[in-house]
Amino acid sequence: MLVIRRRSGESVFIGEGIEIEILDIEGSQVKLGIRAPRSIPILRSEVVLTGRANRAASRQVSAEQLTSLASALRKEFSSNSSDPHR
Amino acid sequence: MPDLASTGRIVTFPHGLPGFEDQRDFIRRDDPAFAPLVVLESRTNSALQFVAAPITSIDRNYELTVSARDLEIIGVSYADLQQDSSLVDCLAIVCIPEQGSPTANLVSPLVINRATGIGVQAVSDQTRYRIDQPLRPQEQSICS
Repeated sequence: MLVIRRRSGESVFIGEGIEIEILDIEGSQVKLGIRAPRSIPILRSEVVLTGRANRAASRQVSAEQLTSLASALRKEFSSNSSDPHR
Repeated sequence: MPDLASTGRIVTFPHGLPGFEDQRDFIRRDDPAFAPLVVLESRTNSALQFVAAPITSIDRNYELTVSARDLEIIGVSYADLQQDSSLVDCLAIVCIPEQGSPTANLVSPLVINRATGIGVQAVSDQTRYRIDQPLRPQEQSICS
């Protein structure tokens, strides 16, 4: 990972066509401006990770796996009267 | 997947789901055989199905974080939601791997307007919950 320090108003170029500018820094939050060709998607990393998790979750499951997990959840739910996190 | 004969409710995600941006319409299948889990089956591709769980069946004290934009998409106001949390159905997509423990995504729940069936996957940036919350705590997943 390349690490660069920038101040508000400064920017970096990625290749010829992508520029990232620090527009504002307010407390712990940085406002970024990104110039890039429309063909390049720009997504928050949480969205990318969610996409990966969704794809992993969309695999076919068997009826047995489904009913087995459901049964375990019902047992877990009924035996746990307070916090489900252990 | 079992042959699900029960008629289901339609759920529509106007913006699809991350990774499945073109998938808008799903049928929600409920069945006592696999309750509390539900199955969301794509209307355009019946082979595409997600298993989901009501989030309170995983974490009774779950605190929902949903952006103004996502509330706008599903047509529920923040004020109304504060007053009545049952206005929305909150589901966590469940991943049942071939090997290893099943997990649930508590970071990006499906939030569905109960009255209209319009939903969104509310991707939050909070770090309190896991994208891969183990569902069977007694079997620790390898990656936890």
